Amino acid sequence: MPEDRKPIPRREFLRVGVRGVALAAVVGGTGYLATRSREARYVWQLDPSKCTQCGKCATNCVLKPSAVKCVHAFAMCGYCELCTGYFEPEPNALTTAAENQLCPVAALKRTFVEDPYFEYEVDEPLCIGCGKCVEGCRSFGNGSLFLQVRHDRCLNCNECAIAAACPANAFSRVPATQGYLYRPGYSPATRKEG
Amino acid sequence: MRARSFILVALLIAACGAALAAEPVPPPEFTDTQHQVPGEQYPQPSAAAIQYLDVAVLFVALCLATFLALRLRSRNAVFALMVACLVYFGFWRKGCVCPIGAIQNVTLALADPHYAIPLAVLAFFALPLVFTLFFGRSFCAAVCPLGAIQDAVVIRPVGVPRWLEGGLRVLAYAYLGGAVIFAATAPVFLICRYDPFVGFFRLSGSLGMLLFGGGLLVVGLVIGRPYCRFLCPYGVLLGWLSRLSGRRVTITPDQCVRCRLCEDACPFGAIRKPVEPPTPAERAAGRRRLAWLLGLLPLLVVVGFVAGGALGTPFAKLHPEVVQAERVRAEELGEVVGTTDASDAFYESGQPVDERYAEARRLRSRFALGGRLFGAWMGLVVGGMLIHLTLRRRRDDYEADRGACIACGRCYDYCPVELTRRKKQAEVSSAKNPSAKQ
Amino acid sequence: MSQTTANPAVDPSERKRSWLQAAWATAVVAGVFSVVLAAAMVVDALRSQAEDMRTADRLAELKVALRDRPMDEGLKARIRALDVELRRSFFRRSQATDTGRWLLLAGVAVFLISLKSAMALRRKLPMPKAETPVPGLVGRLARTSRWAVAAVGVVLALAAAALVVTASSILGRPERGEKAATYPSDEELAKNWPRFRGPGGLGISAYANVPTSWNGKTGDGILWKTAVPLGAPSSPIAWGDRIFLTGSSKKLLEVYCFDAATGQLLWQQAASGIPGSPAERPRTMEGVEWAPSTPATDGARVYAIFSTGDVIAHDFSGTRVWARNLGTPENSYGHASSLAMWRNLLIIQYDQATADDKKSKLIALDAATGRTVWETKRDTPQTWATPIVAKVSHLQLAHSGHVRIEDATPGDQIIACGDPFLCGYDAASGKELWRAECLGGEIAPSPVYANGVAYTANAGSYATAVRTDGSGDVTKTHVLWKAEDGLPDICSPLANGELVWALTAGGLLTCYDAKTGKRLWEKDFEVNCSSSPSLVGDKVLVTSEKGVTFFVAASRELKELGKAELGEGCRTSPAFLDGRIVIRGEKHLFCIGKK
Repeated sequence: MPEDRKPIPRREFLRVGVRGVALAAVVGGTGYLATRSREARYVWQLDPSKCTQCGKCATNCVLKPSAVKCVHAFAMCGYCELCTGYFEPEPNALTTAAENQLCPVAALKRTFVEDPYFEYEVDEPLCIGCGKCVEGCRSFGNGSLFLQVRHDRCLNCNECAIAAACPANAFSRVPATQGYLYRPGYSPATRKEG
Repeated sequence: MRARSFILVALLIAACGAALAAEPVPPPEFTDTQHQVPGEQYPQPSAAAIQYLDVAVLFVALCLATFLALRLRSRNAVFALMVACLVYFGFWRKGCVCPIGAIQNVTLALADPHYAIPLAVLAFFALPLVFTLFFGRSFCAAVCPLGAIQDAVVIRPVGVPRWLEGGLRVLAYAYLGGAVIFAATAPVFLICRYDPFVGFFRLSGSLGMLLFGGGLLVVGLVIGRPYCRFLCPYGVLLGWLSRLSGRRVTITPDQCVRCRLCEDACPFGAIRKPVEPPTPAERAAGRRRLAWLLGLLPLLVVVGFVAGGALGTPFAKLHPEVVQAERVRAEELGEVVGTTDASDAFYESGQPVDERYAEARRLRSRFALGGRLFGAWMGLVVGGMLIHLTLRRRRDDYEADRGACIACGRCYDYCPVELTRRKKQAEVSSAKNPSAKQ
Repeated sequence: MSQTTANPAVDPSERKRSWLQAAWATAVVAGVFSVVLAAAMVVDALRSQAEDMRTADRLAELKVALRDRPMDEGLKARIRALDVELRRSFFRRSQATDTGRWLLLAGVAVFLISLKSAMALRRKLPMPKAETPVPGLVGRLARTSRWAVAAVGVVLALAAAALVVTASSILGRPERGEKAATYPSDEELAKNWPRFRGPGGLGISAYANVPTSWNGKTGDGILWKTAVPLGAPSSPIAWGDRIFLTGSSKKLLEVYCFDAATGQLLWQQAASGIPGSPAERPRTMEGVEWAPSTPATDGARVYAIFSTGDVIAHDFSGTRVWARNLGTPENSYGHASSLAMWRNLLIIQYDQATADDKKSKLIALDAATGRTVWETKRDTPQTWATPIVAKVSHLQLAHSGHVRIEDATPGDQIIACGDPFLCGYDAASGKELWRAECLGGEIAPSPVYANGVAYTANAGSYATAVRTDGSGDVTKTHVLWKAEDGLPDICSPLANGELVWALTAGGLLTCYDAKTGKRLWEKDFEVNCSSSPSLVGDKVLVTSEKGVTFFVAASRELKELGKAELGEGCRTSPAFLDGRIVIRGEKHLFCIGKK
C-alpha cells in the first residue's frame, strides 16, 4: 500500500501551492480594487435633462408603485394659474375637478396663494411616477416638476430595471452622497442664494 | 406688477396652445401674503452602515456555516442557518447585492476605470471565495439565499445521470462567460436581469421572471438545486477554489468501510464512487485520447475566437444605444413607420445621427471583441472538460467531489462510521457531564 | 385529521405513521390553498387590469366628449364618478395583491415544511445490494460524459449561430469599415456643369469658345431644341453626354435626362411615393410651382429637390437610388434654393419660416445613401438663395497683405446667405466658421467667391465683400467694403477676382471694383431679368426674361458686344460646355453651338 499512497503527498503539496496563488490573486485583486473604491455607495438616479417622460418609470420599477416620483422644485415654479402640469391640455375650467386634472392619481395638489398665484404640491405617497405632469410642465411651463428616484423607496438593485428599459439613457449610478440630479441651472443649494 | 403681466402673457400663450416653448415664467414674489416658498424634500439613501452590517452578517454566517458543516457535522444546524440566511439576505435584504451578482461589479470595475466599486460589494465578492479556498463551499450550503430557496424545496430528489450532469455543467461556464463579457462591454448585468429568485424575495416581479424562477423551483422539487448546479456562474468559481481547499466535507470522519449506504445520499450528485485503477489497455487508450484532445483544445479556442466575432451583432442588440441607433436608421430609411420612445428620445437630444451611428458601430465592434473572447472561452471550457473527463484517477473510498460538494451535510446521516462516532461522542459527553442526563 | 391525535399507548412506528398522515394532509391542504390562491391572484390581476383599462378608456372618451359639450354638468359628474371608481379599484387591488402575496408565501412555506417532514418521516436508510463490479464501466461513463459535453457545446454553438443568423443590423458591418466615399475630382467638376451656376456655383464658364451669336427663331446656331414635358424655372445641369432638368405640375414632380448630343429625352422619372412627402402641396409662388431648384450631379447620380421637401437621387440610367422627405418646408413662396455638392455630400440650404421658429438649417446628406451626415442650425428666416462651395485658399489674401502667410490655412467652405448674416461653414463638418451681418430683406441672390473673398448683394441691404479667413462674427473685422448701387433682388452677382457685377430684375447691370467696391460703370438694358449673369472668357452674358442675351466686355470700362435671341422666354441660367451653351426656355431646352 505505501507505493499507492505515494502520489498523494505530492498532489497535496501542489494543491497548497496553487491555493497560495489563488489566495494571492483573490486578495490582491480585491485589494487593488479596494484602493480604487472612493465611494462607499452608489445609487441609481435619472437625469431630468435627458428624461423624455416616456412613462416607463411607472411601469418598469420592481416596486409598485415605482421608486421614481415627481419632485416639485417650488423655487423654479411660476405659480401659474393655468398650470400645464396640473391641467388637461384644454381644461374645462380652472378648478380642481377630476375632469380638469392631468394627473391620473390626483397626486398633484393645487392651493390658492394670492391672486393670481397657485401653489402645486406633489402628494408623494399617491404619485406613481408616470411623468404626465412633468411633460406638461416642461412643454409650456418652467420645468419645475421633474422625476427623481426617491432614495427612501429605491431598493438600489444591482441592475436597475428602469435603467434597462429607459429609452433616453437617463439613468446612471451616482454617489450616494449626491443622490439627486436637478434641472440645469437649479439645485436646492442655489435656490437659497437666489 | 411686471411679473403679473408676464404671467398673463404666458397664460395667453399657453391657452392659445402655441407650440413654442415660452420664456420661463419668473417665480413670483408674494407681496400681499408674504407666502413662503416651501422647500422640497430629498430623502437620503439609507446609510452605508447597513451595507457594512450585511458584510458583517455575511462574515459571521460564513464562519458559522463552516463550523457547523465541518466541526459540528450537523445537517440540522446547517439547515437552520440556511433558513436564517434565506430570511435575512433573501426576504429582508431582497437578495441584493449578492456575491453572484458582484461578479459583474468586479468585472465592470476592472474594465471601466471610472467605475469605483463599493467596498461592501467587493467584500461580498471576495469573502466567500476566500472561505471556499480554505474550507470548501460552505457559502453555498447555508449562506447564499439563491441556494437556500432551492434547498428549501428539495423534496424528493432523483439523481441526474453523471454524464448529463457533466454536460449541463457547460451551461454554467457559458453563463459565467456571458455575464463577464456583458458586464465589461455594455455594461448590462445579465445575472441580475435574469435572476430567477429575486422576484420571490421581493414578492413581486415580471411574469417572465416569476415563471422562470417558479419553473426552476418546481424542477427543484425533484432535481436538487438546478440553478446552483447548471447555471450559477459564481458556483463555477467556487467549484474551482473548492478543489484547492484544505479542509472540506468528508463523508466519513474516519476510514470508509465502503458500505455504499451514502451512495444515493446526495441530492446534488456530488458523491463519487471508488474507481478501480485502469487496465493497461485502458491506460494506453486514455493516453492516446488525451494526446489528441490536447491537440483539439487550442483548435477549439481558435475556432471559438474566430467564429465568435459574428456574435457582435446579436450581442449588441442588448445595448439600448445600439437598439436606438438601429431604430433611428430604420426610420430614416423608411423601413418602419412611426417612432418609438427610444427614437423620440434621440430626436429630442438633438445629437447628429451620424455621431450616434458611429457610437453604435463602435459599441458593436466592442461586442464583436466580446463575442470573440466568449467564443474562445467556450472553446477552452469544452476542450478542458473533455480533457478532464479523459483523466482517470484511482479512488479508494466513497467521497464528496471536491468541486461539486456544497457542504450541506446531508450525507453525514447516512454513514455508519459517523453514526458510531456520534454515539461515542454522546457517551463521552454524558460520562463527562452525568448531570445532563438526569 | 382526527387520527393525528397522539395516543401514548401506541407504539413508535404507529405514531410515526399518524404523523406522516398529518404531514401529508397538511401538505395537500396547503398545496391546494397555494395553487388556488395563486390562480385567483393571477386571474384577478388580469381581470382588474383589463377592467381598469376599459374604465380609463371610457374616462378618456368622456373627457374628449366634454370638450365638445363643455357645459354638460351630467358629463362632468360621470367623469368624476369614474375617476373615483378608477382610483378606488387601484387601491383595492394593490391592497389585495399585497395581502395575497404574504398569504401565498405562508401557504407555500407550510406546504414545503409539511412535505419535507413527510419525506423525513418516510426516509429509510438505503439497503444497497452487493456490489457487482462491471468491467469498463468507468471508461464507458467517461465516454458518455464526453459526448454529453460535446453535445451541449454543439447545441450552444447552434444556438449562437441561430442568433447570428436572425440578428441583422442595418448600420453596416463594422469590421469591414466604411467604404471610402467616391466623388469627382476638381478637374472633372470644372469640365462639366454639375450644379446651379456651374462649378462652385460661380456662374463662370470653363470654356471661352462658346458661341456669341445665334437666333432661336431662325434656328441659326441652334444645335438642337427639345420640348420639356413640364415647365419650371429650374436651370439645366450637364455631365458628360447627359443633361438634367426638373419640372412640375399640380400632380407631378419630375426629373428629366436628355442626351447632350441630340437633345433626345432619355428618361423621365416622377418623384412619387416618397415616405413623409406632404399629402397636400405646400403653397408656392405662381410660375415657380414646385420645381424652382436646380438639380445637382456628381457624375454617378443626379439629385433633385422639390418644394415639397422631397429629395431624390437617380443613377444615370434613371433608376431611383434613394428618396426622402426633409419635412415640408415652411416657405411662403415655396422652397427654391438649389442643391450644392461637396465631395460626396449633398448640401441643402433649408431655410424656413421666421428666425424665431429656429427651423432653418444647412443639411448635408450622404449622396450615396441619402442619410444625414450633418445638420447645422441657422438663425435666419426663409431664404431662396443657393449656397456655394468654395475652395478657400487664403494665399491670395496673404499676398495682398491681409493675413500672415502662416495663417493662410486652406479649407473648403460652404458660403450661404441668410438674413441678416452671410455665413461660412466648414464643408466637412458643417460647423459655422464665420458670419458677417451684411444682408437683409428677402434673400434670393446667391453669394459668389473669388480669391479669398465672398461677395454678396441683395436689395434692401448692400453689396458686400467679406474675407473668408475670419472666425466668429467678422462684421467689424473682415468686411472689405460695402456698396449700395444697383442691388439685385433675384439674380445672383458675378465676380472674377478683379471685378464684381450685379444685375437687378429691371435689367440694370452694375460693375464694381472687387478690391474697393467702387462703382466702375452701369448699364441699364431696360429688360426684365430672372437669369443670373454669367462670365464666359472676357464676356459677361445677361439674359432677359424675353430670351435676349446681351454680351458685355468683362472690363473696367463699359463695352457692349452685341446680343442674340433665343426666340422664347427665359427665366433660367445657362449651362456652358465645350463650345456649347445649354439653356432652358419657357417650353424648350436649347443647345446652342456649331454643328
